Amino acid sequence: VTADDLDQAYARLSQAITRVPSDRRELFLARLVLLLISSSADASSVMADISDAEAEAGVAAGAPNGRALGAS
Amino acid sequence: MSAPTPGPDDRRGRAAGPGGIVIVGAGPAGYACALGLAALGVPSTLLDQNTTIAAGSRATGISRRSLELLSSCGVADAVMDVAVVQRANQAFAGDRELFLDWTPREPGRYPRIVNLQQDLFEVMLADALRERQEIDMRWGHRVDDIRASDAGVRLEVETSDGRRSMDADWVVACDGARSAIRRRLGLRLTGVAYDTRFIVVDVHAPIALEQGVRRIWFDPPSNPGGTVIMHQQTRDIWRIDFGISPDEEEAAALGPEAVQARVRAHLELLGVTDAWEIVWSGDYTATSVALERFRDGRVFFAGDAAHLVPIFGGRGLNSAIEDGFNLAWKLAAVVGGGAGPELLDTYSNERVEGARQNSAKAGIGAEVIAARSPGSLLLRRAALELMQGPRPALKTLLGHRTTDANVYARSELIVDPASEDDVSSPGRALPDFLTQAPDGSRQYLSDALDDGFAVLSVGTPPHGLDVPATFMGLPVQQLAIADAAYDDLEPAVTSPLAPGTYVLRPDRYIMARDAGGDGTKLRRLLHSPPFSSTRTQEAAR
Repeated sequence: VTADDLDQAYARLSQAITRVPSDRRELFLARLVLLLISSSADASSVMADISDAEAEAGVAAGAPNGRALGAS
Repeated sequence: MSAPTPGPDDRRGRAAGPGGIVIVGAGPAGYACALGLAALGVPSTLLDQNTTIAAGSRATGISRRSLELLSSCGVADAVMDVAVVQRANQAFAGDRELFLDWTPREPGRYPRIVNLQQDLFEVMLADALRERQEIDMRWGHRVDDIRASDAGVRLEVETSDGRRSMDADWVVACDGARSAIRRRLGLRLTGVAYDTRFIVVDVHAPIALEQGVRRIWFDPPSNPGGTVIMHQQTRDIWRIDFGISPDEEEAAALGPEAVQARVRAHLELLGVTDAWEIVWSGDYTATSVALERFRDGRVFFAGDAAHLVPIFGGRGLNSAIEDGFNLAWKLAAVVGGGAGPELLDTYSNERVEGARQNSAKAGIGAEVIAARSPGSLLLRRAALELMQGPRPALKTLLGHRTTDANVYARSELIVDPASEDDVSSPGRALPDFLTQAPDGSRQYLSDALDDGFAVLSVGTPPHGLDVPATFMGLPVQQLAIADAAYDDLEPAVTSPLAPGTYVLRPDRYIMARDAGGDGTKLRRLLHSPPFSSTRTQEAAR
C-alpha cells in the first residue's frame, strides 16, 4: 500500500465509521474485518495483527471463548 | 433396541481368559478395536455393562474414512445400504435462506459423509462382531474397579451372576464420556466448554424435504435467539438439535412439554401437517476436552473416554473408530512379539495429535453454531450477512471439511512426513480410489488390500525390495497398481497417490514413501522395523 493509498483509505474509513449509526458501528467493523481477512493472502500476518491488537487492549492472546474445564 | 445377542451368558469363541486384551465398552471405539484385532487374528474380550444397545441417534454422521476402515468387515456395505448421503448444506437466518450448496460429486467408493443413527450403526457393528470367533462379547458386565501394575491389570466386574475378577495384560477403556475407569485411575479431561445447551431430538415424521440436505437455522421463528440443526436419518427419522437461546431458562426448556412445543413450532415452520412422534431425546453441551495422554501403563483410553469434541462436524464417533483401529494393530504387533511395548506409546502420541486437530476443526463449528460470547455472536452475525452477499467463501465456516482424516506429522512411526498439502505424503490417510492392476482388472484400493501391512507400488517397479513376509510381526502384502484412478463416469485421471512405492500401515496410513529414489529408505525400514522387540531387548541390556 502506497502512502497515497493509505491516506485515501484512512479518510474513506473515517468517513464511513462516522456515517454508520452508533448501534450498527460494531457490526460494521466486524463485517469489514471479515471482508479484509477473506481477501488477505497471508493468514499469518492476520493472526499477528490480531495478537498485537489484543496486547494493545491488555487482553490475553488466544484464550478460547469457552469456559476452562477439568473433569475426571 | 435389543442387542443382537444380549445377555451375560453370550460367550462364544476363545475367551481372553487370564491375561489377554480386555476392551471395556461396546461403542464405536470398542467395536473398532475388537474388529481391528480380530482382523489380525488376535483374540479379545469385549465387556459392556448394558444388555441392550442404547437407543437414539446420538452421533449422526459416518465419514468416508470410517467407511474405508470398516469396509473389510462388511459394515461399510451394510451402512451404505440404508444410510442417507449428505449431499448439500443449507443455511437460514430467521426463515430466510442464506444459501443451498450442493456438494460437488467426488470420485471414490464412499461419499464424504453419510447419516445413520448411532443405534442402527451399532447393531451393524455388533453383527460384524458376531462373525468373528476371536471376539468374546460379554453383555451385562460392569467394571466396578481396576488395579493396574507393571505385571498386569485386574478388573472387578459386576455381572448378573455376581461379582468376579478378571485379569488382563492390556485394557482398552472405551467406556464413554463418563468413563468409570478414567475416574478410578484419577485421570482428568481438560479443555474448554462452550456453554450453549442443545436439546437433541429424534422425530419420526414423513417430511417431504429435499433428501440429504444438512440444514441450519440461526434465530428461526421456531427457536428465537437460538440455532436449529436438522439431519435426515434413515427410516423417516429426523434428528433435530435445538440450541437454547442465552436468554432462556435451561431447566424449563428441557422439560418434555417444552421440547414437544419446540418441535411442533419447527415442523410447522417447515409446513409439516402429518402426524409426527418424538422417539428419543436428550441434551448436550458442546465441550472440547481430552486426556493429556491416552495411555496409562497397561490401560489405554479411546473414544469419548479419551476425548470429547463439539458434535458439529462428525468428529466424535469417527475419531472413536480411528482410535480403535490405530490401537488394534499396535496391540496385535506387541502381543504377537513383533514389537516392544514402547510401540504402544505411539497410539497415545498419534491420537492425542489427532484429538488436537479434531478439537481445532470442530471448535470453529462451536464458535459459529453454538455462539454465546459477545465476540462469537457479533462475528457470526457479520459472517452470515456476508455469506449471502459479497463473500460466499465464508460459507466454509459451516461446511463439511471437519470430516477430513487426521494427519500424523510428528509421529515416530512415520518416515519423513511431508507437507500437509501432499495427499500422498507419509503421515496421511491412504486415499481410496478405483485402481487398475497390471493384469488390467479394476477394483477399489481398499478391496485390494489385506488387513496387515502392505508395500504398494504405484506406476513404478518396486526396486527389488525383497519384501519380508512379516513386518513388526504382522503379515505384509505386496501389490502394484497403475498410476491412474478411474471413475465410472469420467475418463481416467492421475492417481491421488504420486508414482512411487509406499509402505502402508494396517490402519491405512502411509508410513513411508519412496518417490523416485532407489528404495534404500524403504529397504532400511522393512528390514529394521521400529520398536522391534529384539531391539527393545537389546536396549534393555
